[in-house]
Amino acid sequence: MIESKQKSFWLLYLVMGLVFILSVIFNEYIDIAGVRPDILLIILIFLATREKKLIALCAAFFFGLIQDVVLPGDAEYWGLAPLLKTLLIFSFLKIIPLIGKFRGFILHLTVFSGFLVYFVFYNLFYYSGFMDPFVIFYRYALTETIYTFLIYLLLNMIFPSADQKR
Amino acid sequence: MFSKLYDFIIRKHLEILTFIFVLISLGFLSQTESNVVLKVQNAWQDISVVLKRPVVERQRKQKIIEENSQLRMNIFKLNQEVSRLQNLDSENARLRSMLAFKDTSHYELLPTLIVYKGFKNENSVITIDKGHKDGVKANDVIVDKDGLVGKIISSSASTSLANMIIEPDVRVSVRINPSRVYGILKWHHGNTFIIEDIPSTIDIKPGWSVTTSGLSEVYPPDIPVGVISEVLISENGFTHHIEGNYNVTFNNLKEVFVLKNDRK
Repeated sequence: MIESKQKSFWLLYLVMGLVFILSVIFNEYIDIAGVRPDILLIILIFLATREKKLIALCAAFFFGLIQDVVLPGDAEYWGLAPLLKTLLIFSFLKIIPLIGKFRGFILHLTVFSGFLVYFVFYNLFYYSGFMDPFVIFYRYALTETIYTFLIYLLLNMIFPSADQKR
Repeated sequence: MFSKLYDFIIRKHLEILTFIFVLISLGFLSQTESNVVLKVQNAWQDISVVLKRPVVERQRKQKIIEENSQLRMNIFKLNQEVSRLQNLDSENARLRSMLAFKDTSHYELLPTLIVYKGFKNENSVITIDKGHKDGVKANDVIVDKDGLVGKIISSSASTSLANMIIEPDVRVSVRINPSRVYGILKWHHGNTFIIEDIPSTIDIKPGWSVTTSGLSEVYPPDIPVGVISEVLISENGFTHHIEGNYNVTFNNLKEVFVLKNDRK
């Protein structure tokens, strides 16, 4: 029983590693109609629910830095991804204990809301002053949230956390 | 005293760490256009190009086969056009020599492959597979067969980072043809642009073409940029609010040309 748990644990991290490589190197091949998911965000949520809080928080900051360095956007906004990712994961870590026994639907709703807030702020910051905020919302923030959340749900179905199994 | 401080740090380590990370991030954000970041990004792109090469090469082959059949169809049409233009060229040269005009520039096109298209698909930053080994340098203009794409912002040995003109804060000095009115073009959203501040007394119609003006130090003249789709009067009533579509479909770009100025 313990051995099978450990196998599943390593399989999860193997998949996470592959997903990480996919998101960092082959990022542009996973877009649908111009919308790309933030795979690093999904990995961070998985870390936040399965790993120590400190690891999840450090990962949030360093994944943000990786995103800014290896997936070049505008150098002017260097620091935006680590800032928002750190704040999101910190808030998420604070909210998880409040969700308590309602894990499951409420957890997914929290993750979706977290993704939405992240993408709204990220895109608003990125395009502010140049585009109608409503366009930013439905063209970028909402679509990216839905795409990222669907991948999160898929991975969550394959690798449910221990609490969800119960 | 120290034990209390230690307890506090242990108890609030998440908050303290978050605060430090936020401060560092804000520090990064406050530095605009860091050269160190650009250098790191270039170095990483050099590595990722090697990792992506098999996938890129396969895509390239597939695209070449498709393009080949299309190009063969175009060759016949273009041959006809070339012979017509040759006649016009010789006539033009004769007339120019009569007017004592001289050609002042000559541009060489360097074909390159886009190996990376930014974190977001509509991101304006792309990476091409040619660097300063091939003579590519900052501020070289990039085009594709349909028109202006952008300019190089930095280059490493074998790759270069380029900024496309669909970035919110990029402005391009353009000329509207055939009226030959000059204006400043900026990206609107998607594949559209706007030109403002042209007096409403000047007649401008949808369907007219937009090319670079040549007034900029970066972009040479007469590179096609787009076509006007709508001409509106701005809120102040004195100027046009012109909307148009870029000739280049930025989302589908796979290959571009670096325009190397071979001015002699």
